[in-house]
Order: sequence, then structure tokens, then C-alpha cells
Amino acid sequence: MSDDSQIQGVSFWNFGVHATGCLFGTEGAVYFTLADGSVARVADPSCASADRFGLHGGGILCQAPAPSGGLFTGGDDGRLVQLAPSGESVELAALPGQWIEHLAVSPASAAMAMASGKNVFFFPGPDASGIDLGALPSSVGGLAFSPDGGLLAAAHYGGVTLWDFSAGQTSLARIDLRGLSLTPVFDPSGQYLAVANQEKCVSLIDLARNHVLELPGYARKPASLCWSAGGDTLLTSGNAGFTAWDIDREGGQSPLQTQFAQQEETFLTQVSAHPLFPVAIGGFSEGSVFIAELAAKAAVYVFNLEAHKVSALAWSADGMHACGGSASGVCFLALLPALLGA
Amino acid sequence: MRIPVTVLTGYLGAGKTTLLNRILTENHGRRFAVVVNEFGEIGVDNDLVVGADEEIFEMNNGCVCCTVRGDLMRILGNLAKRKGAFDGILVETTGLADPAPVIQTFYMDEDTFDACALDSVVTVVDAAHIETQLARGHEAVEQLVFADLIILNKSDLLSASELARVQFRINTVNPYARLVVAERCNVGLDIVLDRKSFDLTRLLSLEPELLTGDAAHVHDDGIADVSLVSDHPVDAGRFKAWLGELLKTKGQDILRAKGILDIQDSDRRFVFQGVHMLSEFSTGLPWREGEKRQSKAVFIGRGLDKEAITAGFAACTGGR
Repeated sequence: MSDDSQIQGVSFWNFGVHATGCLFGTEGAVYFTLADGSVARVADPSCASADRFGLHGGGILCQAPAPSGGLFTGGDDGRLVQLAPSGESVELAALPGQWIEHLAVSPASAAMAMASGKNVFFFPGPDASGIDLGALPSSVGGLAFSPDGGLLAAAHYGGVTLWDFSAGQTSLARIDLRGLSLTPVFDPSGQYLAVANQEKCVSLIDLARNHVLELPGYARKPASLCWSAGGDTLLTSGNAGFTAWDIDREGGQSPLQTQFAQQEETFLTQVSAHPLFPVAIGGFSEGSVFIAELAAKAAVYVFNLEAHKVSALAWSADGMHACGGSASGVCFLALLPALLGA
Repeated sequence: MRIPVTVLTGYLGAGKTTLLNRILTENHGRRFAVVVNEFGEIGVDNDLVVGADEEIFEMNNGCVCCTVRGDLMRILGNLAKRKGAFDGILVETTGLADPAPVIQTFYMDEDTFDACALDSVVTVVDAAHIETQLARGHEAVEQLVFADLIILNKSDLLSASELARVQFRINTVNPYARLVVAERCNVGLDIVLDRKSFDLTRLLSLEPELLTGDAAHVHDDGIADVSLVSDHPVDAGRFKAWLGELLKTKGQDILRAKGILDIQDSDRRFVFQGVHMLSEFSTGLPWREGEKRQSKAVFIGRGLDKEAITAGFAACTGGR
């Protein structure tokens, strides 16, 4: 990291293997999930020491914060595991010979969902066992709960399947989209669902008006999507810099694309919006991490993760910390002032 | 470094799993991740065996030949995160699989391309049954056309003359692949692995294995290969435009295309390959001093218009 390792308010670790994800537990700890099946935990963000837990026989493919603290992890050993803040781990499900590739947790309802191949399993509560929601037309490309936890979206080839749990019983709807859909993300109001498409576009679904807009203008698959805190801007990867779509929530005008902070010979791989302010953090394929000011549509360089592709980014719920990881296992935890002061 | 991926294909019962088990059990000091369709058949305890579902997706461009393996994109993408845990990836396809979607996955999904390099397509053939299989359906034909290495297995079941006939028959379908005769897939793994057959920058020559002379061979299965040679330098811009249009309009019928071109005022080879509508160009190895510079291209497909292709290619050489 050269000089970057000395930035005040930023801690770095090198865990030596691909960081497949990172998140903040509800108890405040920071978790980095790794491709060797282990989780690195920074229990106290004010102190730089990390401990490591071997949870899976293979790589960790997905993760989500557990409502009671700690996290859930799914792996290519076919196991769903919960790591508690105490450090104890328990196996919640096992699908031998399969991969558990996607997890979603609703902070509002404490429900959880996981996907393995074409099948989606729904866990209504913390201690409930999984309900098999059946097989979709193709393997699942991503899962998301709506902000109130009433809807579960699963992206797949040919569109998105939505389960509605709010009426007491489960109903199902299918939104047809062309090609392979990935990474569904609800906006904070729950009105919009953004879905990445394998073929260099994003589908924006207005659930209230039952209307789908295709958002083109990508050099690559926009695999990372997020909504700004107020839901006014959809941010994505897939270009040489940040790609922002300003959504006209009142007037119904078509979303406007702005690309900013474009870099040469690299592309944005990860983007994560601040939970409270119009700020986002973005990571590039050559390891650079930028902080973006959404009102100005501008971003500044913060540091570089030893030239390795940024593979994960996340904010804490209070927005005071951001964490991230890279394809080589170089990971960071940063205080918001350290990022903004860059 | 991208992770090398070897695709093993072949009709039902040809011996793919025998070859796979040989690669996994032989003492070569290398570890592989294996993508299979049937778990039960792998004879070794390997924690990197992944079950696949052969999910073939059409791309949004509406072309029926632009298909990819959705499951492979996911699997290879996730395996790439475990870089260092293995040295290569072996992908076994089902007996009736068309290899084109597998190959196209590497060129249509940038994440797969960034992480993994298609090393070769190895087709295992049952010497005793290949003629019947070629007559029965297009799958066996496609598996031969897309191969860069063909292992003519179970050769011990045939007499010498029968074997020669089968070899000739295979060569008429794909004269450009390397053909190796085997019993119980007893081929050296140095032949199977590290072929770098899809690495254009290494392409030196484009010679048929056995057949020479005739510029086009048409067979009863409708497959023909058109081979083109020119001693005149090719205009790169004109060639790219011509090939682009040819693949756009006839890509459904053109299964494979490959070529090494002598470009005017360039000391390096200009190389290309195509699978259906997809094409890739690159600057290849330099011409050696005193080496005869020639442009060669080959197209294998169904219902190819030899005259039109020949004329189109000639126009790229200034019509000479």
C-alpha cells in the first residue's frame, strides 16, 4: 500500500486470499468473508486486531448480517453457517454437493432467504427452518428483500421472481426481462427495484406503476448496484468510473445517466452508498478506492489496495465506518472523516 | 495469470470420464477443479468437483447461435476467487453437448475472460461408434469441429483398415485438429494439457493434419471446410470489415474460423479466430527472416458458399 498504509483513521489487513464480501454486524463488529472458507473479524473497530474463524470447507460465496449479531455465510461446501458474536458457529442448513450462492436478510422482518442453484429457501424468522420456495427457470443471480421485508426478489434468466409475504400467505409474481438478470436492489422506499443485466444494462422496475425501463450505457456488466440514502440516485459499476442515474421520483422523467471520476485502463468494480448522506465509496479493478460526493457528481482518490481488484465494500449502519476488500485479501476499515478528508 | 480451462467433450460412452479420471489420478503434482454433470462418475476424492447444470442462455441480440453457458459463468467466476487452490479447471460436458456455448462463454462474459483462459477443447471419440454417431445427429459433428485435440479412443476394437477409415472420416470433418489414437484414453497428459490452443498470439501455422490440396471438402453431413491461401499481403481494415459482415450474415452456419494473415508493412502475423458470430483478432508472432509470408484462413461450417468466401477473401488482398 506504500504510503497509503499510513493514512490516519484507516486500518489495513492482508488476509492472503480473495475477500468475497464484507459487512458490519449489528453488534458493531466488522466481518470479511474469504475464499478459503474463513471469516476474519475485527470485533472492535477502534482496535486493529482481527481474529479468524474457519467456517467452510470451500470458499464463502455469500454473506449477510444476522439480526442477532454476527453473520450468516453460505459456501461452496453447500453449508449455511451462522457465526455468533461469541465466536461460536452453527450449521443452519446443508445441501451436499451444491453451492449456496446468495443470501439476503431483512432487518425489518428478520427473515432470511438463500439460493442454491435454481432453488430459493425462505426462513421466516431467526429460529425458523427453511421453506423451499421451489425451482426457478434458471439459477438465481441474486436475492433481495424489500425495505419492509414484505417482498423477496430473485433475479434469474428471463427476469425477476417476486414473492409477497405481506398478506400472511405467499404469492408469487414474475417480471419478464430479457436475458440474464443479476443483483436485485430495492430503493429505500420500496417503489423501485433495480436489476443488473448480464448484457451491459440495468433494468429499473417501477413496482408501483408496473413499468420497466432499460438503462443502457455500460462498457461492462454492471455487477454492483446500490441506491443513495434518499433513493434519488442509483449508482452502479460497469464503466470506467462511477455511473449515477438520477431518478425523477415526482415528475416521472426518464432517469439521467452521469458518469464521473473515470479512470484510465481500469473500471469500477464495486460501489456502496452511504446509508445517511449523499456520499458513496467506490473501488476499481486496479485497487483504487474513491469517495464520491453525489450532489457534485465528483469523486476523489483515497487509497489503493495494493493494485488488486476491489471485490467488496460496505458501510456501517450509522455511516461512521466503511470497510472493503480485494481479490488478493488486502482489506481495510476506514473512519468516515478519514475518507472525507482525503 | 488467467486460470487455464480444458473442456472435455465427446459422445456418450466415448471415454471422457476415463480421461478425466486419468488426469485427476496421475502423478503430475497439479491440482484441478473439475466441473462435471454427473458426480458419481468421478473416481477420486477431490474437494473441487463442482456439479453443473448446462444452462444454455441465448444472448439478447436475438441470434440463436449466440448462446452461453450461464452456469459456467457463475462457476468459473466463483472458482477464480480460489486462485492458488488449484492449477487448472477441467470442464466435462454432457455427451450430447454442443461445445459452442462453452467456448462462447469465454468471449461473451468479460468476467470469465478476465479470470480464465480457454486452453483447449478435447474431444474423445469412440472409434467403434463414431461413424454411426456422425450419421445420426449433429452433436458428434459439432464436437469434432470445435475440437483442437481429438482422442480416437477404443482403437483396439477396430482392425487397422477400419481404424484408417475412421481416421480419414474424422479428418474430413476437422482436418485442423490434432488426432491421437488411444486405447482407454492412454494418451500422454502433456498432449492434453497446456495446449494454449485458443491463445492467438502463439498461432504459428495453420496446416491440415492429413488432407491437403482441395480447397473445400463437402461431406454427407453437410459440413464443409473452405481453406484459403494467398501469397499477397492482406489489407487488415478491409479484412476485418469483410469477416465481420460474413460472420454477421452467415455466422449461424460458420462453426469455426481461424486464420493467420500477412499484413502489409507489418513484421508480425495478424491472427484471428471465430466461433459462429464471435471473432477475436490479435497481433501474433513475428515473421522470421527469410520465412515465406502467406495468408491462410479456414472456415468450417454447413452450407458454406465457397466461391463467395474465396472471392471475398481475394478482395481483401487487393483482388490479386
